[in-house]
Amino acid sequence: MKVLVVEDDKEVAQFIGSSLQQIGYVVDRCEDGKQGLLQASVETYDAIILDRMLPGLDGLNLLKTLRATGSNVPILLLSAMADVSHRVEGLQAGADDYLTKPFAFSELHARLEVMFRRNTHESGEQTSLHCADLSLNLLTQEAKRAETLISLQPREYRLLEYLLRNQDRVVTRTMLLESVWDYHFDPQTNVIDVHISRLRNKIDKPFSQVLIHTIRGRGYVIKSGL
Amino acid sequence: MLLNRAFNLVKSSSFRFSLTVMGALWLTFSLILFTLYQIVKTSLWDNVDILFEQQEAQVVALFEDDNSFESLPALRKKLNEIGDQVGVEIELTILNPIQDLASIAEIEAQDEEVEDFNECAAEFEYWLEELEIEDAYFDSESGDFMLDEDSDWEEYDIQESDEFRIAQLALNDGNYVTLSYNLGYLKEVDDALYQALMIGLILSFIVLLIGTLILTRRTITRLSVINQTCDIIIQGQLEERIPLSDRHDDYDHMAKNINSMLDRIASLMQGVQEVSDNIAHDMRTPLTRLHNRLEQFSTDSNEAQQESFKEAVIQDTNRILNLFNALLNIGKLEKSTLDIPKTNINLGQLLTDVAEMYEPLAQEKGMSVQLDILDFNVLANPDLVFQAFSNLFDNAIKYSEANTTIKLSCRDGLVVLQDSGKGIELDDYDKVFRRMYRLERHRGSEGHGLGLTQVKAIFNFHHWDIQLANAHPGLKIMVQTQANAD
Repeated sequence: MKVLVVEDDKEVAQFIGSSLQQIGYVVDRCEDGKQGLLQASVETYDAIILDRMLPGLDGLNLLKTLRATGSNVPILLLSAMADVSHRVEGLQAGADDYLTKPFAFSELHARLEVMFRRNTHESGEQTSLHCADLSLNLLTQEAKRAETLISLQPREYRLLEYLLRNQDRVVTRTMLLESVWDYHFDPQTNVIDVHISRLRNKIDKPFSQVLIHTIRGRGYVIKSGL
Repeated sequence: MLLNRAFNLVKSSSFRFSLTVMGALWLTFSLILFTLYQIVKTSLWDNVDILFEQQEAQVVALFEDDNSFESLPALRKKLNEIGDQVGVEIELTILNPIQDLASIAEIEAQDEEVEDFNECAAEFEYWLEELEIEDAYFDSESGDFMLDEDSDWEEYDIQESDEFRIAQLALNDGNYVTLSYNLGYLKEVDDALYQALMIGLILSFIVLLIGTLILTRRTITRLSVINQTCDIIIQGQLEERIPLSDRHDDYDHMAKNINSMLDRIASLMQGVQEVSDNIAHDMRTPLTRLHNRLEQFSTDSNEAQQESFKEAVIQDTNRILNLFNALLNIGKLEKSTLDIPKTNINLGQLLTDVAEMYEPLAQEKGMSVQLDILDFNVLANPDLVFQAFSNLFDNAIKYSEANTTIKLSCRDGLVVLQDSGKGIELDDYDKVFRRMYRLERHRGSEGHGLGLTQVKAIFNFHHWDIQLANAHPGLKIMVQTQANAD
């Protein structure tokens, strides 16, 4: 996986770069907007991590320019501004995801993984999702495990769908909030955990094999193996 | 000191302003007066000319009548009457009333030929006597009439044309009558008028200057009081306030505004002080924990231990980061909020989402949730409003007992959230919205004490009103939202 990091804060760039290299990514770094735009159009990347505030050309304009040239490389926008308005602005400009500083590297990692998947698997409409003996029919919205029909609340269905779509990848609580509940906010308590445990009660509890795993300090993952 | 004050006075803009205004008024006034003076003056002189012409005509008529010359005193009397008619005393002198044409020619001939007036001296002497002109004699050397030292006659300086009007009338018989009109008094009147005008204008200018000084001195004194107080405050005596007068005018208003501004700043500063104290206090716990953990860490621990250590450390730092993020967000909401977008949302739907999200949490603690929600459209930022109501709902769950009910209703934009917990003391209603204020009994529990502050900031941003009430038992939170006008 090849990632371009466009970030003028050396320490943050260093942190992202070395952390990504540790998990086996190839990382290129740029410190200003114009250089970043040039680099992004010359080389092919699997993802770009882009800071909003950059010298030369700011992140949002870089993003718009890049999108205007027809590039659909996944872009994750980084921002020191926690304002919701900036998030919406960034997503509207064509960013695939938005992360506010300071962030945990696990959050960045999880979001990058999901972005990669989205980019590679987007082609072709899926009608059902599977994980081991669990299946989710996207047309009838029915969940089955080992031929047993499981009744799900609408929100539980969306939660399961999101987990299944990102099978084998860790999804963080914030990601779940944003995509399953459509609200971007800080829940302060373990409310997500309660929803997950409800889902577990329905999907995992009656069966021997556990599918939904908690990754401590990071989030959740649905996977068949261990 | 006095010089300094005078200098300050002149320097002040209000003084210059009043001086300009009053000066302009004075200038206009003086221009009008001056024009008036000019008009009076011209008409006065014109009037004199008319009078003079009238007299001239009368005198001509008198002299054309030969009978007038029969008696010289009668003629004099008549001439005086003419003078009296116009109400001014005229000095009338009949010069050279010589009836013999030959002798005139003789005098004239002698004038031209010899520079000696001896021959006609006798003639003139005779006429001086005849006309009863005393105190004067004829100087044959120069050909002039000379006045005695102690004569009653005044000698007029004829070169001053202003003082005399002279007309020479040529009579039919070849004689000349010279009418002279003494205008000295008119000039005096004119001068007096002019002087009065000038003195008046200068006096009024002085009065104006003093008046302006006195008027602006008041303003300046009050301004300088304000400025001095501000200087004192700038130098560090922050509790100093501008004294108010009892006039209730605009200066008082300004002073009052500055004072309340200072009060507001002081209370904000106190708030900041409290917050930083609280931050320091609340930070100490996670930071100490982090510190202890780091101290306990040994490099020869196994992988599982390292993993759990890392996770614990991340959790500690996350707590600190969350606290700061919450503080930053509140700050942003309280500051400029113009760029936060608002959209038309269904508040009922949003509240249902909140309830749905937190219901499992409530059920886990053995509470039930009772909803009574009607659709209501508002113009708001959905993320922020969701955050606010989730904070409230989360609190309701956190501070309620098991086997109780949480009621959430929304009717006509009035959102009521009621729990059956311990509630909040009346005294604490305002305090709970303060930054990092935590009720004593909750000090130990989880949370950073910013939840309600955030709620308040969000509702303030939307101009919604939040009120707390006692639900006996429990707390009743009422939020009055505003319908979207569109």
